Amino acid sequence: MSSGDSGPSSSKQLVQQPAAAGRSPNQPPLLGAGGRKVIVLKSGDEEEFEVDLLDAMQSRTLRRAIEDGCGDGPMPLPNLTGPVLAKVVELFRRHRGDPRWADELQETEKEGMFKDYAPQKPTAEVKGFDREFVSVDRDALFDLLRAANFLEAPGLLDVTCDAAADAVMNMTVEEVREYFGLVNDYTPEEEAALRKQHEWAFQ
Amino acid sequence: MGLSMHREPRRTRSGIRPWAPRSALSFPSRFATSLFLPQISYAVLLRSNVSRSTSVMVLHVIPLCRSTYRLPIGCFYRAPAQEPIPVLPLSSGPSTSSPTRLRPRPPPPFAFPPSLLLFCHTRPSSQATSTPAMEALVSKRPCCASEAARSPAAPAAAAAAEVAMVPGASGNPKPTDQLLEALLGEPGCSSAEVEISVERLVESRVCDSEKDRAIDGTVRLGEALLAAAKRCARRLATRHNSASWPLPPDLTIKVFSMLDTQSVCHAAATCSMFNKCANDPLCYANVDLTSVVPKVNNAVVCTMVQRAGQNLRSLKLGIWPSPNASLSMEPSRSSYYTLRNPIDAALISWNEKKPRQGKESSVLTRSCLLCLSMDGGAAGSLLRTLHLYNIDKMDSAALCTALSACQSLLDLEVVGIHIELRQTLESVYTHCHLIERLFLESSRNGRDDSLKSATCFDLVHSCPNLSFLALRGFKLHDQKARILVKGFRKLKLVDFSTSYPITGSFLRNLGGCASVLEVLVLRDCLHLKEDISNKDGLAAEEDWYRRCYNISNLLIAQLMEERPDMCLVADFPTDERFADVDQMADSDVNSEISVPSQVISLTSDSSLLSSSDSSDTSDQGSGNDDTPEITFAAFVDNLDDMDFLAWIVILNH
Repeated sequence: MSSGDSGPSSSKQLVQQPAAAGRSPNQPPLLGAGGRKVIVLKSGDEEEFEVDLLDAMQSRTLRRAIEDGCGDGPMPLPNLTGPVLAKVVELFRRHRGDPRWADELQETEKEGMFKDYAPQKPTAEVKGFDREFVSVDRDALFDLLRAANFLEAPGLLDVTCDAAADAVMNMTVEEVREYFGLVNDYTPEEEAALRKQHEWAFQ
Repeated sequence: MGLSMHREPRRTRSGIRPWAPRSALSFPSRFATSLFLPQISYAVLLRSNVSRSTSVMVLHVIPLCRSTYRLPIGCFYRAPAQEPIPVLPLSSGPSTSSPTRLRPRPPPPFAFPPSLLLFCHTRPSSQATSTPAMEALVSKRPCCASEAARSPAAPAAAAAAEVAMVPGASGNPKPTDQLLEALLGEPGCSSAEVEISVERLVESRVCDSEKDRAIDGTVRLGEALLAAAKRCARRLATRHNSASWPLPPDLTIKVFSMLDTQSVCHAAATCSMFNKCANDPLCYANVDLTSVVPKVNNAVVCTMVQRAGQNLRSLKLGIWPSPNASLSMEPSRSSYYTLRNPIDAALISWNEKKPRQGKESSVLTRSCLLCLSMDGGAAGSLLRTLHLYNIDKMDSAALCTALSACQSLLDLEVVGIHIELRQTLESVYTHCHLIERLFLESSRNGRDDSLKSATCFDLVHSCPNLSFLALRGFKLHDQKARILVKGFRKLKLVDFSTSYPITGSFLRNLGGCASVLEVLVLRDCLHLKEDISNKDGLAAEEDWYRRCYNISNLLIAQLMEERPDMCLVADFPTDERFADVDQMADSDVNSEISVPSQVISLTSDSSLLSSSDSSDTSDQGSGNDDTPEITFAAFVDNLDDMDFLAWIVILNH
C-alpha cells in the first residue's frame, strides 16, 4: 500500500483524476483501471482532494456512492469545507487497515478488490494521530462530528465522539450548556425535578 | 483554564483513577521521569524492605503504572516489543494550549412584558377596532376572560406571540393576532406608562366589583401572555439546540455511552434534547457509580441498572480513596503512568471513609446488587464487568447472590469488602465460567484462610479462560498457589501479594506449565523463604554464588541483551536515615546499559549506600555478613520456559 502514501497528504492542490477518462461508464471506477486507484473528492468550497480509493471506502457514504458508479469524476461533497475534508482525508489515510471497519470491508469484498487491505491493529502512532486529530476547538470539533455523521465512517466517528465525550466529561450542567452552545429549554420546575431525580449526581 | 478542566476527566472515563504510591515522596524524581519514557514496554519496580534476619528473601515486583491492574492485559503485556505503552504527553499539549472558542451565546429567550397589551388598550390614540375587543377581554366579560386565560387563551396567545416573533408567518390573522401585532409594534412603552394606563382603566370603572374584575382580567391576561411567551421561548430554544448540535440522536447516545454515569446525568439536565438521548438504555451500558465520597445509595444503583436493562455491560460501585494531591497537579494523562498501590489505598480508604458514613441516604448496603438478580437475573445476565470497592456492608452472601445472576461475567474485581475467599470463588466457578479476570483483595489483610485445595481445583477446571488472577491479602499457601498457577493455561498475570504464608516454593518446576505467564507479582509476601531461582527453579545451576554476590550491573546488561524487549525500572527506597534518594538515583547504572531504547533506572538501597560510603560498589558482595546486602539477580539463563516473565529478585544474605 505504498501507493497512497504521497497522495492525500499532499492533496491540497488541485488534482485531476488520471484514470477516469479511460473507463466505461458502467464499470466500477476502480476495476481494471490499473495503477493507482484513486477518486477525487470535491469539498463545498471547490477544493479537490485525491484519495486512495481504499481509504475512501472507510466511509459508508462514499462506498455507496462508489459502488453506484459515482467515482468517475470528482465527487462533490457540498456540506464539507476544504479544511475539514483535508483533515478527514488524512485520517482515512492513517486509519488504513483499521480493523474497526476493515473487517466490514473484507465481507463486502468483490473480485479481490481489497486483498491487500489486511486489517492491522492501530499502532501507537495512529493513536497519537487520533489524539492530535481532535485537539481542536469546539467549532472545529463540531465540523468534524458533522462530517463523521455525514460520511458514516466508523473510525472517524469513534475518534470524534470520543473527543466530544471527553469534552463534556465531568462538566457541570451550566458548563455543558456553554460549551455546546445549548439553551436551557426546561421550565424551572422540570429542571428541578430532573435534578431531584438524580440528586446524587449534583451534590 | 476551562479546557484543562475538560481534559482532566479522561482518566475517569477509561476507568483509570489517579492513584498515589504509598508516599509520593519516597520515589525519586528520576524514577518518576523514567516512568514516562515512551520506550517503556515493561517495567518492574522493586521495593525492598529486607530485614536483617538471614535467608529471607523478599520479592517485590510491582508492575509499572498499575496498568496491570486496570488496563486490559492485552494492552500491556502482549507482544511488548511491538506495542509499547502509548505514552501520552506530559505537557498539556496543543489541545489545551489552543483556547476554546465558544460560539456566541444565543440571544436570550424572547419575552415581552404582559403589561404591553394593556398599555395599548388604554391609549387614547389606539384604534377603535382593538379597544372593544380588549374591553371585552379585560373587564366587560370577566368570566369569559378568565375562562380564556385558563384554557383556550393560552394557546391562542402562544400562537399570537409566535406569529409576532416570526414576521411573515401569519397565515390568516385572527383578531387577537392583530391585537398583539399592534401591541408589539408599539415603540417605547415603558412599564411606568403601562402602570398609569392600567390605573386609568381601573379608575374608569364605576363600581368596585367592576374594578376588581378589571384587575383580575388584567392579571390573568398578563399571566397567560407570560406563560405563552415562555413556552414559546422554550420551543425556540429546543429548535435552536437541535439545529446547533451536530449529531443525530443515535450518535448523541453513542457519545453519552462513553461518559461516566454522573456526566450523563449532568448532560440530561442541560436541555430536553439531551434528556431524551440520555434516557436511552445504551447510555447506561457502563454504569460507573464509584466516587471519592459516598454519594449513591441502593436506590440509585437500582435505577441505573433498570435504565440500562439488557444493555448493562459493566457495573462499578463503591468508594475510592481521594487522589493524592500531588498527583492531581500533574497533567491528567500522566495518571496512566502513576504507580498504583491498591493495598495501601484500600486501607487508607477503609479508615478515611468511616467518618463520612453518617449520611445514611448515601450508603450502599448489602442489597445494592439485588437489582442484578431481579426479574430472573435479566439485568445481570449480560453483565461483563463487575467492580466493587470498599462497600462496608457488603458480604459474601450478597455477593454470591449477585454472582449467581451474572452468567457472562468476564471481569470481577472486589476490593476492600469483607468476603470469604472460598465462598466467593465457589460462586465464581459455579456461575461465571467465562471469567477472564479475577481480582480479589481482602479487606482483612491476610487473615482469610478459608481457601481449600478442592476449591482451587474446581476453579481451575470450571474457569479455563482466566488470564488475570490477583488474590491479594489472602492467606494463601504454596500448595494452593501452585494449583492455581499450574492449572490455568491462559494465565498471563498472577498476583499473590500480601500473602504471608507463601514461601515461593510453588514456583518450582513451573516452567512448562506457566508458559504464557508474563507477570508475577509477589509484593509484600514477607515469608518468601525459598530462593525461587535455585537449581530447580528459574536460574542457572552453576550460577548461584556469582549471582548472589554480584552487583547487578553486569547481570542487568546481560538480561537486557537477552531480553531487549524488557524494560526494567527498579527502585530501592531508602530508610529515612539515608533520605537522599535523588542522589542515589544518579548512580552510573544507566550509563552502563547501552541499549538506547530501554531504560533502567536504579536506585540503591540504604545498605548499598552505607557500604559505598566506605568501599567501591564492586566489593560489597564480598561476604560481609554483618550488613545486609542487596543483590540483584536477574535470571537470564533459564528464561526459555517462561518467555515473557520478567524477573527481579532481591536477595538478602
